[in-house]
Amino acid sequence: MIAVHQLTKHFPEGPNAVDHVSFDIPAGSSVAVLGPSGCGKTTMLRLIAGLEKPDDGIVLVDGRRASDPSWVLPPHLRDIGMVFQTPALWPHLTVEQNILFGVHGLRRREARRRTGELLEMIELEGMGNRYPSQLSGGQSRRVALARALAPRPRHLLLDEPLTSLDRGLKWRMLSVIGSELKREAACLLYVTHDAEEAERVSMRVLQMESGRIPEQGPVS
Amino acid sequence: MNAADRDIPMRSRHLGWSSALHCAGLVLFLVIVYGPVGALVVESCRAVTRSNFDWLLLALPSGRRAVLLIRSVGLASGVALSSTAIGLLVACTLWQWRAGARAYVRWGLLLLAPLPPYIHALAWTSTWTAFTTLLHFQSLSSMTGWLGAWWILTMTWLPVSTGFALVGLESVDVALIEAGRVARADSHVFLKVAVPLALPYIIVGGVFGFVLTLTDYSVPSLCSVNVTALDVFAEYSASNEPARAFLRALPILTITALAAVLCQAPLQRAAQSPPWRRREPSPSLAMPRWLTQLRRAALALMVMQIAVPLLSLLVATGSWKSLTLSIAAARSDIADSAWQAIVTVALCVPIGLAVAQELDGHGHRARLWLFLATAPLAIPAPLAGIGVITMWNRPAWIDLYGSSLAPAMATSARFAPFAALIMLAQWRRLDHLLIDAARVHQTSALRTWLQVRLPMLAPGLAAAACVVFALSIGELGATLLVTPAGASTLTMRIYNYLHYGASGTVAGLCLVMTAVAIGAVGLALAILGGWNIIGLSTDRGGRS
Ligand SMILES: Nc1ncnc2c1ncn2[C@@H]1O[C@H](COP(=O)(O)OP(=O)(O)OP(=O)(O)O)[C@@H](O)[C@H]1O
Ligand SMILES: [Mg+2]
Repeated sequence: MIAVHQLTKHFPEGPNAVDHVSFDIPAGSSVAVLGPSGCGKTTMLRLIAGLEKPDDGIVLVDGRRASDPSWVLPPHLRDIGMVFQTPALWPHLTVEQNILFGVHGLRRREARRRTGELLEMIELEGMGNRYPSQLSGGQSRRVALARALAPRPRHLLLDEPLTSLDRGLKWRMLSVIGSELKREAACLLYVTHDAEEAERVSMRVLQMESGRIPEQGPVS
Repeated sequence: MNAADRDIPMRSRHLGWSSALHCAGLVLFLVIVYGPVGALVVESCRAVTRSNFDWLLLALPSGRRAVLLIRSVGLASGVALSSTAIGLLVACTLWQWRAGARAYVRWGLLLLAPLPPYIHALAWTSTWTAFTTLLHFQSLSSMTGWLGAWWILTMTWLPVSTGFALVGLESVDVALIEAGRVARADSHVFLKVAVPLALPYIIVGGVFGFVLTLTDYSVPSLCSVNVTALDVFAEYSASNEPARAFLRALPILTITALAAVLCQAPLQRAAQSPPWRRREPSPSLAMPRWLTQLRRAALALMVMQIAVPLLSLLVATGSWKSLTLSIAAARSDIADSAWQAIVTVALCVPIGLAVAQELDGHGHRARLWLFLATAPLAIPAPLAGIGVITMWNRPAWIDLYGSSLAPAMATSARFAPFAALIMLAQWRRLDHLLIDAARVHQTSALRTWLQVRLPMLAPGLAAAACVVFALSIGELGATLLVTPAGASTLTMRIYNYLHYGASGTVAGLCLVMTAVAIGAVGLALAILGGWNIIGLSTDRGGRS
């Protein structure tokens, strides 16, 4: 479960990038955030992940206080899987090593199986030994998605994860995300530009506008 | 795997460990770099209050010394201007060399950057003498005096200013230039877009040339001109009083510190500019004829800057046999130098890393550290040496002071900032989302360090190690003062020979030094370049 209350962040020049935002995502449910470029979506995800410190407000993860203006729980202790707006794959690690980075306590064979399974889900079987520079834009994005899913996190933060994919592949990847969610009873925060994609992800779509989320609730 | 199951205390202990190491690095930096100067300040205050109030007059240059100071500043300004102008012209040629073999050659032109100035002095004076004798211009027979010093120092710092200008031009987004080319002529775009955007780097390069010239005494002494830095050295040799030398040095210290302060703003801009993400080659710009001619001339000077030292040293050394003989005779000095350089690297790289991480921020703290890391570059070399003596030459430390660690302390005081700045430069080129991604998906702090941070930092660490090694092998100003009696390093041997003019031997040793410089910079470039080629930099990795 993720909840934010009056979450606010401003950067030295300019107005609040995130402006007193409140909402919650119960375990096992998902929320899509839709909004124009520069409205603060990425900043909000980074605040929830613990990569930025809020100027005001709090972030609760699983009911525990994870961020407030004076203290931030380190990101890796929040049980989060995250896809960044650019794939951000470590260029010196292979696809397989990238995917397994966040997984711990698995034996070699199990780890192999897990990567095989994930590569199959993202339709990149046999590419485990490639390096990120040998992938296309859309392939890198899918690897970033697999990296986020690999440790079976209970919270998923996805920042426009499927932007450069064709429609068919996009819907297939969405159903992969959906089935992982169900299995782990995880909660999902999904950022996108695309209204149709947002509706497919969740009944609940939050409209973000210059750092604020004025209206809440399911799209009619 | 939910958050509650995770082993939180263990992890916070890991975090504690790494931040403790980080703080230790910062403290060590302050002690090694600022300790000597601090000791000098304390010692001077003590000496002055011990009734030697008239010593304060040493700090006020008057009469002959005022003229000396003006001349020194004039020399430094002249060298800074000429090397920046030539460097910019060279860089503007190299900037467009991005395809094929030339892409590799261009950075190769910077190979002699860490070669100590007195080796350039030897090479240029002997070449000049040979040249004038050949043409029967005996009246011009030696390259001494202010003009000679200016020329030699310009050639010495040319790779530094070229390097800064090139890095500056490289960091300009190609899209900005292309947007300008649609509207205006290429030369206009170059002058109004590329150069202004690269300006912070160009200015920093010029200030480097200014400060390095003002604080060097080896070339002026070999060219028989007196400068303030030499005066400081002479004062200490004559009186053996650190306080007197420090007070004598105050005027140039003020000027270099002022230069360091003035270049904080451009440095800040250079350090904070976004990491370069270049995929396209620089556009090849059509320049007016006169500019093309000037660029060719500058490039020719750059080639001479490398060819003259190499060829003249090779000719002066004579044969393979005399080279091996002079190396054999200097064997123990070479070993001492290498040891000193290795200790310096071992000290500078970890503390430089700690400082580089502080520099990579935005707030006041990063600004403060940027100042702390660049201000020591303004300390004249002899003062760094005298400071180390003042700091360590105490009964409690006498073992340390008498050991070969003292010279390494002096070279570390001078070169730790270089290590920090090189690592910062490499670090800034990385995509920081890669670190964020590791923070989110981290399973253990150690693993994140070994698998993500270290490989990403490695090229910077290696390049810093190579450059610091080359710089400390060639360091003279501080080493000369600090090296314990009876010991001697390669630089000291060369410098002593230079004054006696023992040419064959000294040329052989200079050749060794040149080989070390070329090897170290070549290795650093190969590491950074190889890292680009296998796709570790943002240039190619993580396409979106
Ligand atoms: N590091 C930063 N420093 C200063 N301002 C920033 C920084 N990061 C973001 N901003 C500003 O905060 C605002 C929100 O940025 P954010 O990246 O969150 O937008 P976004 O909604 O994700 O946009 P997009 O859809 O284009 O990705 C923008 O106005 C941006 O200029
Ligand atoms: Mg965004």
